[in-house]
Amino acid sequence: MKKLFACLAALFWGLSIWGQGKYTISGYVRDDKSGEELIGAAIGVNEMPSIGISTNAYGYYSLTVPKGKCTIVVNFIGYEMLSFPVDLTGSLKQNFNLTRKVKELNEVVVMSEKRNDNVTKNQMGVEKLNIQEIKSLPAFFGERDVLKTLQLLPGIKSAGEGNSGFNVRGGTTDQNLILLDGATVYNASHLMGFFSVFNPDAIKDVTVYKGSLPSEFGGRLSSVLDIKMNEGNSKEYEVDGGIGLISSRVTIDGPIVKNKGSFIISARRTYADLILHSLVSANIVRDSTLKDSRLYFYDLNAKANYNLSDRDRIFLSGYFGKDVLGITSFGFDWGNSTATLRWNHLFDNKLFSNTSLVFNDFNYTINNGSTTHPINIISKIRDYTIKQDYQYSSGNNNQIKFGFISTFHRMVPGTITTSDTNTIRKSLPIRNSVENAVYFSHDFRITSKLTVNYGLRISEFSLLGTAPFYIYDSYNLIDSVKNVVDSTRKVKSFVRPEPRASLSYVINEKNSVKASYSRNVQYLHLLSNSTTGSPTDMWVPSSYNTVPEISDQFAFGYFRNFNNNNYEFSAEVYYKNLIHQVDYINGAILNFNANVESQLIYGKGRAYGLELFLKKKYGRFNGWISYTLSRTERRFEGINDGKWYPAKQDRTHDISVVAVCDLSRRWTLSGTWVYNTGNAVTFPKGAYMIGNNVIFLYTDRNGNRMPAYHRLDIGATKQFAKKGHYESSLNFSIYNAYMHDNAYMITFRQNESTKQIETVQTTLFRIVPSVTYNFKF
Amino acid sequence: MKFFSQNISKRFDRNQICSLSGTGKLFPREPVKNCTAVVSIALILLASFGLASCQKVINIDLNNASPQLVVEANISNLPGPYFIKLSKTVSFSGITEIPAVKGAIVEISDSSGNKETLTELMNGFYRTRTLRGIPGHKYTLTIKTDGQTYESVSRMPYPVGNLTLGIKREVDYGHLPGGGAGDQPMRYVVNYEINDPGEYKNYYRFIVYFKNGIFNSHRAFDDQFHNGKIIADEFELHDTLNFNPGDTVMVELQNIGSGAYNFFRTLREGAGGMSFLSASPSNPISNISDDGLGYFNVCSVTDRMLIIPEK
Repeated sequence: MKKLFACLAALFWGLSIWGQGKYTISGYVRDDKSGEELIGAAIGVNEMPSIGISTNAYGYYSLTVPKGKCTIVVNFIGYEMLSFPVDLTGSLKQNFNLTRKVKELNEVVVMSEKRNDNVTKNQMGVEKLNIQEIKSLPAFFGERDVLKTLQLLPGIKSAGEGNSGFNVRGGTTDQNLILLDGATVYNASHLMGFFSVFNPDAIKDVTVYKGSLPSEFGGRLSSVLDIKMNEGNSKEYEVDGGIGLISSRVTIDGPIVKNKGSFIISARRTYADLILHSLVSANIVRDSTLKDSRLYFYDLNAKANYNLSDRDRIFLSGYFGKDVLGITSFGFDWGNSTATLRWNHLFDNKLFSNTSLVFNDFNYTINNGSTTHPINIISKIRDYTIKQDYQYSSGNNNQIKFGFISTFHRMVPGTITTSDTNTIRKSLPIRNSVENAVYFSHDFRITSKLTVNYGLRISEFSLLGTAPFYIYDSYNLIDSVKNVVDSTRKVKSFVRPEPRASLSYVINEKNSVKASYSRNVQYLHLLSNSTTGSPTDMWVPSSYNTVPEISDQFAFGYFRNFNNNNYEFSAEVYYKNLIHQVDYINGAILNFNANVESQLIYGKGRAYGLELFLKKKYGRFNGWISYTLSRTERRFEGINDGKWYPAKQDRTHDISVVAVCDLSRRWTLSGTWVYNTGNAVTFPKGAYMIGNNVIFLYTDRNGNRMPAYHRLDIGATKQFAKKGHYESSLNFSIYNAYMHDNAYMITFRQNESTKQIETVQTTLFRIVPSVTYNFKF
Repeated sequence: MKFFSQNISKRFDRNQICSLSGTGKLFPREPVKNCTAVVSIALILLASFGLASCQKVINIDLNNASPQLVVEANISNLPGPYFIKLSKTVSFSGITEIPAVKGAIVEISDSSGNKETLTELMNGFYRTRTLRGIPGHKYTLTIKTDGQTYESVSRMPYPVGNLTLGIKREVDYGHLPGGGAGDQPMRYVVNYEINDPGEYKNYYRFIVYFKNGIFNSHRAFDDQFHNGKIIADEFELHDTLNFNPGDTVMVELQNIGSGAYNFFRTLREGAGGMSFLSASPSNPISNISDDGLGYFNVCSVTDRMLIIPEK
């Protein structure tokens, strides 16, 4: 440890030396019309192609340039390149405003060296999604969805038909950390997963890290999905909206004080229930119990920001969403809320600070639908977080990030109340815990060809407590801890170092190789016994029984661009080793079980694969092909005789093809095609009788496969002529265009007359056409 | 569309949905299939737009497993004879004719040296002649068939000294119509108090007989968190349409062994495996050696008659 500090000290000292004789240009890069900060815009020097940097998550950059004359070049995809001549005699604060490109048909693309970022940047296992890109793709029920678009990228797989849950490199859906403006979203799905909670109108940037996580992130094994909300137009008021078959949405944004601050409010609501009611009234759906049904979800995103000074900016953002489901004698509501207060501060042009206070809450309520004798089951997860990040740039070759995060988790797995007497009838034990981490990372360009990034995150997790805590040896109670009464006392703590490193070597402008290693730790575990995931799945903290899950991932990649950077190609291989994975014993009782930990067993996992990606980024015809060849296995004592067996998300082949074509100035056509091997499932191999009941005979877990899944979606967008400020477009989508009967589930039942056992396949969506009208003024 | 309408009413039958009825025993005694219900509503809605969602019978190759022995064996502290049933597993196509195991040599011996070979009856049933179950004795069941020997050993627990039972008829809050108007649905609930003996680990199971047939069985439970204390809880009776005030039901409390407990505990979960929501269905855990399926239940019984109360 001492040696490490000595090295760090030497390094900092070294960094300050290298800065001599040079000046720093720093500032923000923004959209000139809306004032919105641009994340990941490239800033370079025309005369010195080896100098370059990109804006951080807040649109801020800091570039070190030798004194004298040079031309600064700023680039961002979809925007006009900006050249800015300077004569540096001192450090300079300079903001850049970029102009969005007007869509031109016979556009001659101006080349810039920054178009090969994918090759030259020391970054692998990262996917960024351009919101504009999402907007032109076919949409399921007309609802554009960032999570579903992500699933078209290599290594990221859909958790099921129409499902917004995803598996990254063999991880389970709960091993993804989903952050909305820094706040954890525990359940990112609406309507049982068919839609995600992210309204694309309110989203600015989507980044998913599936390989080596930056040290500032942690707490999940597989991936981090970092979603940033729009800031709003700081120059003029705007209204955006859309009217679709099952939902409508509207967004209003504008300046609070012109060029000083802005706000955005975005809302969306589905009205499937209204349509259903009218279908029932019109006798099209003959099930009168559905007349009183409630079924909708809504989302509200709001964000405001204000520049207190040149150096200080504050942001306040929030999300509130809810699903409401109910029929006569049953109701089920769930939703997330998040709130983030953030303060960006520039100490000087080299040190950038970001302080966040975050609150997030996920809860669900199940009720019996009775107005006279209501009974409710309420479950909650609530986090309070403070996060401090520093970003220090010394020269263009050194970027240092460090900081800490501290989160208090409060989990209320289930409380039952009756309002007859307004009393709590029964309650599962509430679990409080604290998760802390400090981190450091250094991105160091050793030569113009070789860049290394190394970092360390040290995380600590403590279960706080009120006793009793029980200790089990697979089902059997062997010990208990009873004497803790103070709910703030730490009863069980874990400290885990998480080293991470990556290396990239640029062979030439077109070729590079990269390698990375990352250790991730997960302290919260999701217990789910369902195939698709449900809001009622229970999160449990690490405890006397369940220790933190750990994954070690090694990845290696080759990146190459072709044809003047018009085509990007990448090949990545990964190997992941997972320990302390959680599964449940055969016949486990998970829901509403106060002693749920007695139902768990622990084992290991491994996942490895090859990901190929070919993308055409520019031109009238663009899109990508992604292919993943992978294997994901688990090994648990007591399951399949302790041998390795395929995890349910194991899919050998996974292919996505995405194509977008600008037919004319008005029409854009798009199509996506996906194919994947079916999930591993457990089917019965026969049957027997116990008493008068047919019991199915199972021989091994996940020994069967669902049929292969494939589907083509097509979309067309017509842009109407602009009338004054008013712009509008019409989007047509067809989901599952060639009507392939994909198996959503396969079940077995005894035919009542023949007594034979039948295998029944259920297909959810044979074909789903939809139309959405979008407007903006 | 038709499937989903049927499905939804099925999903919402009284057993499945929310056993969170207002009885004090608010926690559903089995994993709630709420999510099933929710998925159903979600599906029906999406399906109404999704056009032609469908369900069809398909053929898949399930590479059949070789037949395995299935044992259903019960002995208790009540006077015999006791019956043991032997059958085999079948592939799906053979489900209408479950083969009985004939010509097996079935023996039960106890820890005090008694040994008896059971007499074969029809259809795979075997019967004891003189054996009488005694609490505290250890019983060994040996089955020899097709050149293989299967075994199961279980000690007969002592019967519970103090058992208090009651039956009541009450408003079924869990199934009130939305507005609360109209006839209130009613249900029958058996409440019990068991004085759990502290010196042993105890496993229990309730069986309810009505008009000489097994009519309800409540899930198996143990004293893991109540050892040596009073276990007080209740369970709902299902299918009570034929109940009339003054009728009697017999409630039997079985004090069972850990092997039988694991079987009955996991029987419900894995049984059928019809629920698509269970990601990894499995066989009920058997206590028969050598991959034998089923159970050997050596139990001591305490029973009480209950009279169906007035409406």
